[in-house]
Amino acid sequence: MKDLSVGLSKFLSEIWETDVSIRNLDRASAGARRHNLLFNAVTEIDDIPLVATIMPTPDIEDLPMDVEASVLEFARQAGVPAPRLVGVTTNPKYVGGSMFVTHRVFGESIPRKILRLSESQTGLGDRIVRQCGEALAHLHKFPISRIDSRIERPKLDDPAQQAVDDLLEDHSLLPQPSPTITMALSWLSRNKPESPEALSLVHGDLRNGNIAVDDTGLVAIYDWEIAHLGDPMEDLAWLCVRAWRFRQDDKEVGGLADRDTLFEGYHSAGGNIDPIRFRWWRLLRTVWWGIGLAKQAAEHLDGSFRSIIMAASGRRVAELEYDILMLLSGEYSTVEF
Amino acid sequence: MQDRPTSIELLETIAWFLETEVLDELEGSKRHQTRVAINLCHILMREFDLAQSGDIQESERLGNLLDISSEEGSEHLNQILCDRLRQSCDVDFEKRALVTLLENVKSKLAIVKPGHDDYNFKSELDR
Repeated sequence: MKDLSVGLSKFLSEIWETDVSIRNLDRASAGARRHNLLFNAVTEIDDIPLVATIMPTPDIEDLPMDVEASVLEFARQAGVPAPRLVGVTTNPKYVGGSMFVTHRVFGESIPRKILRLSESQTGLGDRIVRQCGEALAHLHKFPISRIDSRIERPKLDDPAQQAVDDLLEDHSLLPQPSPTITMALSWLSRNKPESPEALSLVHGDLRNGNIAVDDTGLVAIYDWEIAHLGDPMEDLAWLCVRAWRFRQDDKEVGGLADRDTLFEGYHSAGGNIDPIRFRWWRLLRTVWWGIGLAKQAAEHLDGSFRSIIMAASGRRVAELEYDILMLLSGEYSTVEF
Repeated sequence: MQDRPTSIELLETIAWFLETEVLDELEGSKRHQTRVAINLCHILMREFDLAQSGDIQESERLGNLLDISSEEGSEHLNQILCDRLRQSCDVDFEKRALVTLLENVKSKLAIVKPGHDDYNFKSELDR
């Protein structure tokens, strides 16, 4: 940690062109592959709480750190409460890998604690979800001409086809293919919706787990590492996937509120819902997470990323298979159990 | 034959030890990882009880769906089902497969996450 402190001090001193010392450096628990460090940067006149997000190994980066940093700035310009950027570097000389530094946001970010907070205050869950809807509408309607050209864009500007192609490839590489996922991918491929009128920047991982809230509502949206150009319905659908409800299944949006509340927030900020595309992306992202969990287990088993959490993920695939089959049963409407 | 404790008793002992002797000493990600380890012990304890009959029933269901002998084993039959689902688009077969797969998934959930299948999605399927 001492070396990291020296590296952070050097980096901030260079970009702020003043002497910076580091105090209260602490490793946050968030993030399996990237490290989040909490610290205060002290100058002659200031003492500023910051967060450094460090990617030690570039080959597991989804977005290069400097592109992700530009996404943060894009989101803030769009009116989304993303963390405020202080600086970014891809030079490993400071902390041994790429890094960006943001201002620290004070709020609760652990999903079960967010649920407890929302239960303790009438209307808070609805407010958080409505604000998520508003934030997504702002993000999705912001012109993508301003985005970094290195951000991932779907082939032929067809996000649904790209998503199916990616999942077919990922599923084919798994050591143990799932008939449930095979059937779902076949259905998704045959029932692919029209592309949206225009591509948007899609956060890609907005859920209860990547937000910070306090008793006033939503204060930040984190983890922009898989942001990409795509269909805005993907973000709304992912937020409603059952895996993020933490047993509060009757509240579709992260266990916090119902879907209508999310859609009201989205509409109120100028977003348009397409129910057919929403349903399609809800199934696709449920499949995506099922494959994601199976991939985590495979990475543990082949030794490329040993972790008890990743091993346990393999035994969570059945949860997603159940959710997929139930969603599919709604599409094959004559199926009875 | 091994002396007692049996395998399942040893698993229960490991879970008990982690829960009562280790967990309170830990915080943050190590505490979370230890909770996951305890949960895995409980999964394995249920698997000792249920897996053998579950595997036989899974093979029988797949054998009936595919009209193949269930003696082929569930791993092989699941592979055959994957191939068939990939190769043809037969909606009637998919509907029958869905019913079979749901039964098989429920058997897995009885081990890995009892109660996950209590929720039936009814309120959100038609929207």
